[in-house]
Amino acid sequence: MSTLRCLCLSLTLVGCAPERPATRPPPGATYDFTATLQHTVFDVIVPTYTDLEDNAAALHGAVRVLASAPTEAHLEAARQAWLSTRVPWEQSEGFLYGPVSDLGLDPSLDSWPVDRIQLDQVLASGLELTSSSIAANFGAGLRGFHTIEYLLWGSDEQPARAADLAARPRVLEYLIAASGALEADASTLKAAWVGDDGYGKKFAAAGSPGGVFFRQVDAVQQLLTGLTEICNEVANGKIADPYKAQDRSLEESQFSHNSIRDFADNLRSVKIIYEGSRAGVGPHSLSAFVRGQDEALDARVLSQIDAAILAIEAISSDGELFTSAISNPAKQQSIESAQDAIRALMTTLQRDVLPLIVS
Amino acid sequence: MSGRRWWLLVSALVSACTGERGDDELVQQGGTFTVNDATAYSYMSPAPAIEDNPALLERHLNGDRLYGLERVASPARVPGTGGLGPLYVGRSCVSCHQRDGRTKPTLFTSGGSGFDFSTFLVFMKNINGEFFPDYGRVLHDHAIFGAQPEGRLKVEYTEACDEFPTEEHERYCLITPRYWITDWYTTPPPENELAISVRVPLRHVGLGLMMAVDQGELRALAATQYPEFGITPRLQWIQERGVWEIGVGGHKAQHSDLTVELGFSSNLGITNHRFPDNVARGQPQITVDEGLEISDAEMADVDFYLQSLGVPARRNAGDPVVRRGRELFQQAGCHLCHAPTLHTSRTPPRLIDGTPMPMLADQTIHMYSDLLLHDMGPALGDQFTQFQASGDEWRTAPLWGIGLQQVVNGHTYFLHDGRARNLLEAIMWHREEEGAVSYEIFRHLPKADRDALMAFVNSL
Repeated sequence: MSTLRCLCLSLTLVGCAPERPATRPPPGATYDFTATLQHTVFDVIVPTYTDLEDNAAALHGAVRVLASAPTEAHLEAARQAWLSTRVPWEQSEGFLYGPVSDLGLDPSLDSWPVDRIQLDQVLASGLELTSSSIAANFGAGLRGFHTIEYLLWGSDEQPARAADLAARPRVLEYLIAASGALEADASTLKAAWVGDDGYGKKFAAAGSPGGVFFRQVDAVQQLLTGLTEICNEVANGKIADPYKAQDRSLEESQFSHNSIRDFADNLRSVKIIYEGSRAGVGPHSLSAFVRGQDEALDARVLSQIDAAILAIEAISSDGELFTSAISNPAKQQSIESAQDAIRALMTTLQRDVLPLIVS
Repeated sequence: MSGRRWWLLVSALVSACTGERGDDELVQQGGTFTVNDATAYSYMSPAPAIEDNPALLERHLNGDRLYGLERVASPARVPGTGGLGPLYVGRSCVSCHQRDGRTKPTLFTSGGSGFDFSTFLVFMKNINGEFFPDYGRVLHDHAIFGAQPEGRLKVEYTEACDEFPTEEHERYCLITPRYWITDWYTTPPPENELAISVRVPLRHVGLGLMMAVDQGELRALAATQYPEFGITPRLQWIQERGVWEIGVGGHKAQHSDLTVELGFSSNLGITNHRFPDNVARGQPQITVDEGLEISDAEMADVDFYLQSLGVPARRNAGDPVVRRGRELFQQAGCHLCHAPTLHTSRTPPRLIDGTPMPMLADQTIHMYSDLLLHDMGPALGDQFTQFQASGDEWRTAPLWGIGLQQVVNGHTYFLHDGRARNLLEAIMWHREEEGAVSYEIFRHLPKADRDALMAFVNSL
């Protein structure tokens, strides 16, 4: 009763105003992104995961060679194989959604930090070490990229040497098992994206029956949000955490000292998704859509991506490692410039590109 | 009616005049906490008021970091990352709440306990309601190297199928779990004295708003009976801190806070000020006293993070099928328990460290739950009482964000132990709900109408 009275009263008070102009929907609401999604999935995401799978298999092979003959040359070859596998992984971090998270593969592949206490205990034990025993029994802190990295490089205080590895057969066994598990995870990841029932097809079919997303534009927003997420992670996490704390133990790839390349490849992940291709700007891409709406904006995004990559690489242009740069006053400016360049890109994507897609 | 609500009503009427469909379709489910995101990140987005305030955002992001950090065994080489175990269920909050949602249950991927962590809790107590002396309040089915898990959960499902009594004779199947525990680390509790309840994680959508709900409204809802639907909701009264409070969190509304300290302690093995004792304390296999492993400030930051998460806006609310589904949802009486609209209290709620959260106060929200206990019958019951809740009683699950679970977590397992493999099965498990009137109405709907009702729920 009281509600009814309120309704009547308010109708009397307010009445119906003349019709207001409706807010114009963003151009993305009516744009057909079918080809954009198709090309982004099958020209960028799936080939990146294919590289990851292939390189992980090569890493597993190189580690087996190292175990059979632990020489410095074989150790170096295994390290190079790790670095090569790291490239597609870091270039995939702009699309950390779908099977990589749904199947728990992100922690399995890239858990950080390494659980060194437990790892030492496992190595000192008599536990069976195979890829399947690692997969079945050990947590993500005991497997994946950084565990393998730690065993291949050792710490700064105690670098790994081939002669030491030769004297520690358990470490070699562990390396074989962990790189086998990494290869298996990479295969699972790629397999989940391909095929008729794969996530790739469902992602590209967003907005239609069988698609992952309710609307096509949600998938496009997903692509874009994946990019802003990795920009945020690199600028405000991966770089900021060790830099602010002046603590090298917070560096992600602290054993291989590969962090600068990791960060740059994260930004290349942004580049290949935005360009819808791994070989320059594709005709069916986020870039092409943005260019159609605002040519200057598209040019700004493209140049900000390149500027961010250059700014990251500039930190180590004189050969200084990120590890020491974080506490080198002379490097303060270049580190902060890199952060600023990434944040500028992130702001453009969030404030200028996203509103073209969703309101 | 408060001045603000009066204004909202006037605004809604203006909107109706201009043909806009905003409040009419209850699109802004989380009030000012609503976020326009239907992606895999939709549960993770901070509320706009947080995102626009650098200081609040920084606190939110610190809470986010602590929430997602995968813990390792102490003494950790990387400061602030240790404390895991020695017994645990997950290695971080994200183990169970991937992207603030519900990680795909290892019940289905591993047949019970997972290899790295488990995505469920097994509540354990004896028939007198007491914990077993050599075990925790939940089964710790993982352990760091050198310790033994308390046991491992196994599950088997039996499937039974039936047809809808409508023209299409559409077939549906439900699976019933059977749980048992293997690999006990010491003498197992006598089988006839052991009561367990398996629970999958809750989605962390809109937790701050949920905790801030006006408790007067809940009392009023609890006092309203619907004899024609056979529904007799009950308030959950709980005692966790020495005083009786209304419980709102958890599958049986058995908590009056977001269990941040309890979760870190019981699920990750990380001791804190409120739960300083290791979960394994007293067990013959644990001898080391590690002291407190996380600070009060960090606990409060995680609480802040959870309370400041946004709520995804509804999708396709204006779609004719969805609108039809909304009508059917009401006609079937689903809304009597899955209450569409609640309000948060005018008094700002506080974090566990006492920080007031004024942005959560005085909001109109649409979580589609009355947060009350309802008798769902013995088929769903677990014979596990918690405070006022009997084995057969469960808190009405909030539905906001439910349609995005597939996008966020890649699966559609629902209900307290994830036994419903999709939304249809979840609805059909309401078969023994008190009265079962809504269930019968749904069951007799033509397929197109059932689909419309589910399209509505998926739009939430």
